[in-house]
Amino acid sequence: MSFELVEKIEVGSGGVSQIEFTGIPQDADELVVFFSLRGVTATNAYGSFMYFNGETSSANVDYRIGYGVNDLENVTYAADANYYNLLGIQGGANYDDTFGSCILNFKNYTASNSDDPVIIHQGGASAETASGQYCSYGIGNYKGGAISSFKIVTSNASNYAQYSTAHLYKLTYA
Amino acid sequence: MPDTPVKVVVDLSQPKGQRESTIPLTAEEIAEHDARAAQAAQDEADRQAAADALQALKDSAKAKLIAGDPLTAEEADTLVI
Repeated sequence: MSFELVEKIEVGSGGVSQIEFTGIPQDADELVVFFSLRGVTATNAYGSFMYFNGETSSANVDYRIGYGVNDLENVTYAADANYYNLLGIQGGANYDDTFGSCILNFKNYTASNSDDPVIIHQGGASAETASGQYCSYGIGNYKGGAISSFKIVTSNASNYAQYSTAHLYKLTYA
Repeated sequence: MPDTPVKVVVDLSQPKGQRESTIPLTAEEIAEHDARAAQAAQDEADRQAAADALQALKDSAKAKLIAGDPLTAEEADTLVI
């Protein structure tokens, strides 16, 4: 088994609205992505939407998300959308300017063995106050073929702040 | 006039050191960006309204319990799992 860093990025001063990886190598069994993200708005912890291969059809993306926010009970979340919803994974000014974290896994991302890629994530953002926690976990399928590119955008259309990072690894079983 | 939003693109088909570029969003991406901002504002307003309504029910239930008055089913639902 090998676990190899493919690329890492760190957002520079001024921030960016999107982070996009293209030309993803198709020679591994799984991809693993570590995000450390902070939005620039002062509102609650938002999430990020992840798009695969520039997908525009909601028919090609399914997901189910469980999440908890502050003292509210966990609830499942489902939506018919052309993106995968990484709920609540970015910190913000209301979260003591902390960075949210997320670990994301693409299984079978080359769509081999007649199976669709599977997306699994867990993440959240946590402030130092009792009213500042947000966590989510989820699983989804992408039915549009092998994943060769993806991008994330903030769900509230803010920028990712400076020092936000993404690390992309590939995992090979043999 | 605000600056045009930008994105960072990492093209993994390129050699290391030549992969990362920061470029402006396309007109289509800006339109999507603006639509997300509007939706997020609506979602936040809906979330706040729901939280306020739940808190009002809890406050009312608490006041009635203290006074010994009967609760509505909706108020009782905020106390009983």
